[in-house]
Amino acid sequence: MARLPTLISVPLGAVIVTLAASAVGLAVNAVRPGGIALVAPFPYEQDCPDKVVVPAGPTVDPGRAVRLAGAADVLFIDARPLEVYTAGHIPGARSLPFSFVTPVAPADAAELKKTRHLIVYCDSPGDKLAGLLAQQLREAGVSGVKVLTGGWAAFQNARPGGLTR
Amino acid sequence: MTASSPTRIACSARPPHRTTLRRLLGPQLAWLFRVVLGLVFIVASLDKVAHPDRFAVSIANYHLVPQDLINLMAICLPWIELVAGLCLVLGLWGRANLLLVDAMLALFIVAILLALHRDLDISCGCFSTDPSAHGMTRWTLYWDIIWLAMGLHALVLDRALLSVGSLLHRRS
Repeated sequence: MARLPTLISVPLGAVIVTLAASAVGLAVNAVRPGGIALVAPFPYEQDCPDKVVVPAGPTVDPGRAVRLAGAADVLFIDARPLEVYTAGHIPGARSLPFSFVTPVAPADAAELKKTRHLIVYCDSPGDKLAGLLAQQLREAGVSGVKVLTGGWAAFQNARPGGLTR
Repeated sequence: MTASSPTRIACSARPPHRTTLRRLLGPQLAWLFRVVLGLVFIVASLDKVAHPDRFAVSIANYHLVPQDLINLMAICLPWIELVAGLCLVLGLWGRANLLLVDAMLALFIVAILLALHRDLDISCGCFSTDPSAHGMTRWTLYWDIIWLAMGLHALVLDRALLSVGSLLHRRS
């Protein structure tokens, strides 16, 4: 069988390796638990949340949040990174770190739909992480989502004994 | 009198230092560069393969890739690096993978140049996806240029020494 000239075979080989490796990457991403969406659901803004405009939505003030903590039909959602959540969070809160890369999983959304009132909080200026997560949840079909004004710090001030570690 | 005189024979003999230099710049050095580049790419790919989400953020930091392609690139590029690196170490399709690695390095150099020119305060995402890892400096660029020079040398002079391909070829 005639061999291809080097000028063709070498670039062709590079293209084949690129396509094969990409196929492996896509296959692994599809089956692995930490796989990411092929297209990011939100624009990447690395100065986030400063540059991202969060649409206004329903909010809950800290005093009311303290009163609602522990109620059966209320669930607090912690939008901060998991390690920050582990260091301290509102009692009973569920960790759901906000990510530009990975949207809220359908399974998580389905589970959250069972709760009537969801209060999302974070510790970023202007509650933007919480606002973005609340927006993601609404787009995933979850209703009754509100943002805790002032976030984690405001909740602590309203109820200093509300820490868990 | 013919042209094949003793003078001509004497002229064709190379001085010993030139032979040594040729050997240094030849296939042996190309093999070393190929293996080193392969190892560099394998090591560089591991953290990105493990954390495509964090690598996507690193890519986005450069502000060069269109939004819709960032995640796709974050998923595929580490695997291309890993496969190309493994092939280089093993000597499988050596020239094709050297061309691929050289093309990637050239792209990285352009991206780093632009980031430095725009004075972006970001980590390069070359070996670690940790945003708090070493920030990008001129040395990031210099290292990529050194690796590209090694890759180009290997692309031109690699003779598939100690490669799986040549071993298989010998057996057959």
